[in-house]
Amino acid sequence: MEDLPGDVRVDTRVVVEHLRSVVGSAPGSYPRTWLPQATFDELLVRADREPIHLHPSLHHLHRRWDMGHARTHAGSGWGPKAIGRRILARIVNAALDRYFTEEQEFRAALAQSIDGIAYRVDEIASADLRNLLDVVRDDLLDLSRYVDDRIDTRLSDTRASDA
Amino acid sequence: MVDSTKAARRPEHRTRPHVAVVTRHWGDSGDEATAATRLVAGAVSRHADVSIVHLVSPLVPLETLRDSVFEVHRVPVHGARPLRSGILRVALAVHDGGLGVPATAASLLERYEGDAPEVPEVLERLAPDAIVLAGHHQPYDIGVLGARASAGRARVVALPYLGDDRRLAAEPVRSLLEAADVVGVVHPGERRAVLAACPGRSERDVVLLDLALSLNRNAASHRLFGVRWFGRYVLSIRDFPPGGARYVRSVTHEVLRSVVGRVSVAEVDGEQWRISDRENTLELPVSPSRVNLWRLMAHAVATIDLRPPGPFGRETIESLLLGTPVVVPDASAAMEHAAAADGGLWYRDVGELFDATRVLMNRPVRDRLAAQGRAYADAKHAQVDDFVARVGRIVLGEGAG
Repeated sequence: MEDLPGDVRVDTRVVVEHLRSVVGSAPGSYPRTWLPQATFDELLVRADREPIHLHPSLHHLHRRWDMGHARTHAGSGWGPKAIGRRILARIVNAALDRYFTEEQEFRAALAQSIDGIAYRVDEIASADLRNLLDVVRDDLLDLSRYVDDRIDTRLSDTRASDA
Repeated sequence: MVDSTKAARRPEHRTRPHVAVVTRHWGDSGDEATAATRLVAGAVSRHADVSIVHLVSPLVPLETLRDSVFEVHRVPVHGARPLRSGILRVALAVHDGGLGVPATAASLLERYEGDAPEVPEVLERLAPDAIVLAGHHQPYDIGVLGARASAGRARVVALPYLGDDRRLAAEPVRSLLEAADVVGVVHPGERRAVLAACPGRSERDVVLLDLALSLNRNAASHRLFGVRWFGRYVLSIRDFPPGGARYVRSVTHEVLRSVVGRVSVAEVDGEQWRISDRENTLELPVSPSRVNLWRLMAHAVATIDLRPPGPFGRETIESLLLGTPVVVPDASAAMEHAAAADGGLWYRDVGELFDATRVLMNRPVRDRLAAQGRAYADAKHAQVDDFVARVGRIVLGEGAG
C-alpha cells in the first residue's frame, strides 16, 4: 500500500481482514509494542510497577562499591614490569592509604544508604497500594450494600402497591 | 386504533398535515438518539405540523409545552426501574454477552422499562396523519395503532435506533417493527439486520434515512489555539458530548502516543481537552462544544473513537465530512459508516485499534481513505434539502417531498 496509483480504491474491509489474518497467522511473532497494562486502569498499572530494589543500577552498585580487593591484590609474575608495578602499587597505597580508606567507607555508606532508601520506597509503595486496595474494597462493599438496600426498598414498594 | 380519517377531531385551522413523534429521546440531552430524533422532526416540520409526544421518567404530570416549532406533550412513564434494569442487564451481559436472555428475564426487563398508558389517549386526541415512533422503547400497547395497511389508519413509521442488533430478539421490538408501515434506519447494518429479522417485509419498506448533518466548515478551518505548535496529531475521543457513556478501562493517552510515534495526540475527554507530543502537554482552554470538536477534527490525521458505540455514529460522519479518516469500534453504527464509505478502519480490541492506527500513519493510505470517506459523506450526509425531501416521503408517503 506504500505506492498507491491514483485510481485505486482502498477497500477498508480487505485492509481490516488482512490485518486480522496477519495477526491470526503468527500471533507470537507479530510485533506489537503495546503492553497489556495499556488497557488496564490506573490501579493495575501501578501494581505492575517493578520494585526499585530490583533495578539493575542498584545491582551494579552492590557489585562495585568494595575497593578492598583492588587495594590488596599484589599482582602476579616475576618479570621486570610486574615487579615494577608491585613496587609502584605499594608506594601509591602507602601514600594514599588514608584517602582510600575514607573513600572505601564513603562508598560503603553510599551503597547502604541507596539500598535502604530503595527498600523503604518499595515498602511505602506497597503500603500505598494496599491502602488503595482496602479503600476500593470498602467502596465496593458499600456499593453492594447500597444496591441490596435499594432492591429491598423497591421490592417492598412493589408489594405494597400490588397489595 | 388511531384513525387519521376522524377529521372532526382535527382543528379546523390546520392546513398542513399533522405528524406526531412518540419518543423518549427529546430535550437537551446531547445523546445520539436525541440528535437523530431532532433531525428527523426538524425535516418533517418542513412538510407538516409536528407534535412531539415525549415519554418522560421520573414521573411528570401530563402537560403541553412549546419547543421551537414543536408542540411537546409530556407523558409520564410509570413504574420505570432504571437501576434494577441496569443491574439485570449487566448480570446477563456477564453471563453470555446478553445473547441468550431467558424469557423470565426478558419479561422482567420489559416491566422495568415502565409503562406509558396515556400515549394512546394523547394520540387519539392529536389525530395525526402520521405517527413516527422514534426509538425502540415504546412502552404502551402498540396494538392500539391498528394493523399495518388497515384502512383509515394513520401512517406509522418506526425509527428503532437499534444500536445493538440483538435487540431484534426482543418481542416488543418485533411488535414495533411489525406495526410500522415503514421502518427508517440510520445505517446500512441496521437495515440488513431489520430485513433479516423480518423476512416478510418488503425491502422498499426499510429505508435508510441517511441523516444530513450541517457542519460549519468555515469555523472548522481555523485550528484551536495552541494546537499548531504540536504539528500533526491524531484525535482520540474518549467522552463527547461531556457526560456521555464511557469505558472505565481504556487505552491511556500515553500509550496511544507511543503507538503513533512522532505524531502528537489530541484527546477529547468530556470537559478535559488536551494535546501532547513527547515532551509537552497543553490543556486546551476551550469550551467542549461541537464547533470546537470540528476544529480539532478537521486538522487531525485521524479520528479515533474510544467510546462505547452509539446508535447513529454522528462523530464518524462528521469526521468523514471534514476529510479525516476514522478508527472506530467494530459492530457499531460508526463501523457501518466507515465500511460503506471506505473511509476508515475498525477494531475489536486494543491490539486491533493500534494496528489500524498504525496503518493510518501511512500517508498514501490515509489520503485515499480521507478522499473516499469525504466523497461518501458529502453524497449521503451533507445534502440537507435531499434529506428533508426524503424524510417527507418516508413519513407522509410518496406524494410528499
